[in-house]
Amino acid sequence: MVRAGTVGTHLPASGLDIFGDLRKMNKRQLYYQVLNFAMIVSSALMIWKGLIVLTGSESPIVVVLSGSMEPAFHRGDLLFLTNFREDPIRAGEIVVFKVEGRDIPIVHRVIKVHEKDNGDIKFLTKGDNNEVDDRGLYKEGQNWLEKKDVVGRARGFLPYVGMVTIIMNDYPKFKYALLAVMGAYVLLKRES
Amino acid sequence: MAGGGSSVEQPRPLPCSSLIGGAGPRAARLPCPRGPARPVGVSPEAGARALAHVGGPERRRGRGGARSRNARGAGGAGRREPVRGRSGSPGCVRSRALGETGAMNTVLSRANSLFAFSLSVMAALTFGCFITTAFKDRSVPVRLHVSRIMLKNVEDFTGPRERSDLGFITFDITADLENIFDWNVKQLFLYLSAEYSTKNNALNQVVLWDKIVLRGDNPKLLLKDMKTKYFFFDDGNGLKGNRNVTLTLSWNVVPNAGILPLVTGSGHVSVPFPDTYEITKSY
Repeated sequence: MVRAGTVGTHLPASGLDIFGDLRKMNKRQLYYQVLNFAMIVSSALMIWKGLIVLTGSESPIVVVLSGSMEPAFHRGDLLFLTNFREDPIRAGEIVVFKVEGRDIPIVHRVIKVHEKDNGDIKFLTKGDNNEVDDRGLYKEGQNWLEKKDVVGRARGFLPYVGMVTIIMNDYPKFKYALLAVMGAYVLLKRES
Repeated sequence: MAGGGSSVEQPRPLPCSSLIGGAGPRAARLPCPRGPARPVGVSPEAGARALAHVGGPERRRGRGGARSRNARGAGGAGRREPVRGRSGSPGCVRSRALGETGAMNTVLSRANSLFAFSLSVMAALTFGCFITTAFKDRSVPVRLHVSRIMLKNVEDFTGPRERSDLGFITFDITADLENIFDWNVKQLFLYLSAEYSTKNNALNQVVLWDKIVLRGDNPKLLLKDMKTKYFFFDDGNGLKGNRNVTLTLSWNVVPNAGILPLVTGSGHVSVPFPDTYEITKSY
């Protein structure tokens, strides 16, 4: 059962005393706090980079931004991608690809594949919710996509979770505020 | 919520050096605060952390990752346990959470713990959904039949403006998809694809028709004399006289949460294409 904290007698009666802990630390503990913070940041970075290596994709987790794959994927859903070289591209697969000139990757389904003997593949994609194929989205004069345009293949799916990223993108102040609060908390909180 | 083991009623004069395995050298250096043990509130940082898992290539601060900061158990998308009191270390229960400074009123800390708990439960349920259906076989038998085939050779107006073979097919599909749907299937994306090989390309796959079957829709497919939804253009002139064009019905299982498998129905039909182009008739 969770109970709210009770007030100790040695604490100030007003205000959020977040610097109270900080004041009580000596230099060594302060140093430790900073190291702690650095550990968290580098762990997060390590996990992300590790995922990139593990999946072979430059962006192993993506958030769906548009509704062109409804009703399968809605805006705010999370997709887990892999991009192993041995996996061939086949019709029906959901691929995330980047078109030259656009920096936002697109997640659509492969509807045509033509593969040569030597392994050269060209394929065409279309969003489930679109009426026509993606040739209008490709570069001018480009009719097919190639393996090098692929960021990854969608292998796993998690609903709604990516909404946080969308909110943080649409309201960057929220993102900075959140990072500032969390950073401050980790830096200033002492583990007793 | 099940109590974390750290809400202690009476003071325990426990020398912190006798900790077993807990916080380690850090706790040995810091003296345990004297006085009655305080009931431990939930650290709101866990709640803030729970908010901060971002799905994109954002730098994810504060997600703790593999490092188990012994008190900050919950929060972060990967680790969902009911939030324990701040000191996960046995013995030294007299720690102070931010909620205990008195600046945080009880409504806020309760809302925080409620939020953290519901997030944990939802994550556990989602994981349960995923793991109970991850290894299921989603294949069912399918009966396909092709009743009419016609071949033309026209300029490919959908893309490259070369003269390519354009095929027309009328087909029937019979399948019962009922056994595929379970608690973790949101929809099935069915697609009929033609696979063949030509002189130019070792492997060609063209999706001719697709259909979305949502959970709750009629899962029994009994389609007769269907025309293709999409134009069956070849990349070149490889359909003419092609003896072996195989049609299969496959589906992409879209779960509520979990793996997105591509499953091929067991049952396919191979058809030969005519040797001549149809010039006069239209389909």
